[in-house]
Parts: sequence; C-alpha cells; structure tokens
Amino acid sequence: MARARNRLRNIAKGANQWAGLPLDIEGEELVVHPSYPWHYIFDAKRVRREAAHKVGSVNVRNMIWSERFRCYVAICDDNNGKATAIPMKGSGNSVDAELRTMGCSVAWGIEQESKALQLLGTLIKHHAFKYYLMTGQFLESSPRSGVTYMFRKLRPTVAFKERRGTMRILTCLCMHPIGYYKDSWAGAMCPTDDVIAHLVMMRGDEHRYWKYANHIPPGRPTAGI
Amino acid sequence: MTLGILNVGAGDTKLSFDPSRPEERKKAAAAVRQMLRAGFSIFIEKMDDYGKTATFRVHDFDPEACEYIIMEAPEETDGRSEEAPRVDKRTRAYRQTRVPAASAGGVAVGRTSGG
Repeated sequence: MARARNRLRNIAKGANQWAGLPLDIEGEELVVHPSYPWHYIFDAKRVRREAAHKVGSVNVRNMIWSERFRCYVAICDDNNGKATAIPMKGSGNSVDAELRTMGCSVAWGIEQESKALQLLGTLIKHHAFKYYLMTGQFLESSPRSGVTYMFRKLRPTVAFKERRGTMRILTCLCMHPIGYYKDSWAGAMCPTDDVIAHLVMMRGDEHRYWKYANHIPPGRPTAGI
Repeated sequence: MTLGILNVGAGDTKLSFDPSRPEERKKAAAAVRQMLRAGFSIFIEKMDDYGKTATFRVHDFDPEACEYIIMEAPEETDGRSEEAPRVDKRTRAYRQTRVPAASAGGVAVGRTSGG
C-alpha cells in the first residue's frame, strides 16, 4: 500500500492536486465531492458496484430510522403491492463501522499520521495535545457561540452547550475533506488530519463548519457515542 | 510564508517561499489563488491588539502585494463616540483586513465530501 500511496502522491504533485489523490480500497466505497476534478473515476466504480448488487426489482418506498430497533427500516412493496417493513443493516451497535474503519486504515501511512500529529501539536495547547495522545480526543470551546466541541480521532465531533446548569449534546458533526469510505469513520486523509480540519474550520469559520458538516443525532450508532 | 496543506498522500505538505525572491512569490501566489478557486478553505492565525491569537478564513489573495484578505467583525462600541457609530448586530458590516502572507502561517483544507 505504501508504494501505491507514493505513486498517487507523485501523480497528484504532477497534476497540481494540492490535497493529493485518495486511495481506492478494494471492497470499500470511496465517496468524494462531486466538484473533485477526478470524481468521475470513483463515481463509475460506485455505479458498477450498485448494479452488481441489485437483486430482483424491489420497490423501496422509504427508509426510516427506528429508535426502538436502532437500525434503518426499509418500507418496500411486497409481491401483492402492499407495503412491508424490512429492517436493514445495523445491529444496534457500531461494531460494523469500527471493523470497516480498521480495514480502511490501510490507506494511511505512519509517516502521514506523525506529520499530522506534529502539526496538531502546534495548533493546540500542551494539555490538550496530551489528552489527544492519551485518549484520542480533546475539548475546545468557541468564544463566539459558547459551544464546547469534543474533537475525536476517527469519530464525529461532539458539540455540547450548557443549558440550565447541565451540558447537553447538540449534535455530532461529521466531515471529511476530499473523501471518505462509506459506512465507516475513515476519511481519505489520515485521522489526525481530519481532526485538524475540524479544529481550524471551527476556529476560523464556525458557521461554515456547521453548514458543511453532516449533523448526526447522538443516539445513532454512526455518531460513535 | 509557510502554508500547511492537508494532503491525502503526504499528510501535511508545506508551501513556503522567500518573500525577497519575486519568482517564488509569484509561484506561491498562483498556488494560493488556485487553491481558493478549487474550493479550498485557508485559515490563518493573526494576533489581535491584545496579544491574543485568532484564526480567520481567507476570502481572497492579492498576488501583487502578497497579502491574504480576511473579513473581520468590527469592534462593538457604546455608540457615544461620534467617530465610531454603533454597530447594528443584525446588519453587521465586516471590514476587510489585509494580512501579509510572509508573516502569517496557515492551514489549507480541501473541500469537504460529507461524512
């Protein structure tokens, strides 16, 4: 994988792609922004995968989240044309996502992660950096909005606010620059680079951060809480 | 000027130049403008008058002067001074501030793909 990464790095340098080229992993779906110059390469693969997995002609009317079963439920038409509910993937816990994230870690290198750690060390205070090294997360409050953020490695950022004397979770913010691997918490960049992206965006343009990040309710397994 | 660009393959790429060399300045300026056009978000740190560091998002770049252009919210006043009128919070007018690129370090983040 290191050789593939290095080759992609050289190709990206030659093509003036400052953020590099994400590594596509066999068996995983890489999602990139539609405005990414080479998104059509990854889009074509996704269409082929979807075509290969389609079985029969099931009409899915809607997909809803069930808090009771903690999974998505598909409302489909049965053979008689009546609506029926089918629980989809999801076991109520996040082990699937964790295993997938572990699998996607082949896309990152130790060298990239250590560089990102060095950069993070220059952006936050010593005690926060120690928290991050020891526990994989650290806290920072926004002086503008009063929201406290828990930046976590390989998990969505949790936004809290104090209300009537207690800290309440507002939402979980998930955002990956360039690309991410579907159904996992893995981004195309190494984990600490994702954390840095969240941190600088919160500090520099909090409105934009909330606008561009996906908001995940804290009760969902994808929130990672 | 040193700009850290979050990179998929390299982790963190540094874009640096010597301000006394016009060719390097020109290259760096072209790179920054290209990134802004491609949808990158560039954040720089700037010291305010009280010695505190604040982070700002770069809105534009002046290649001639080699300066980042950021938007700062004006200081709120009590409205008593004739020179500084009260700022209406609803229609707050941000002022454009220029920061020399040679003195400001920053981080460039690619366009988000969601999550």
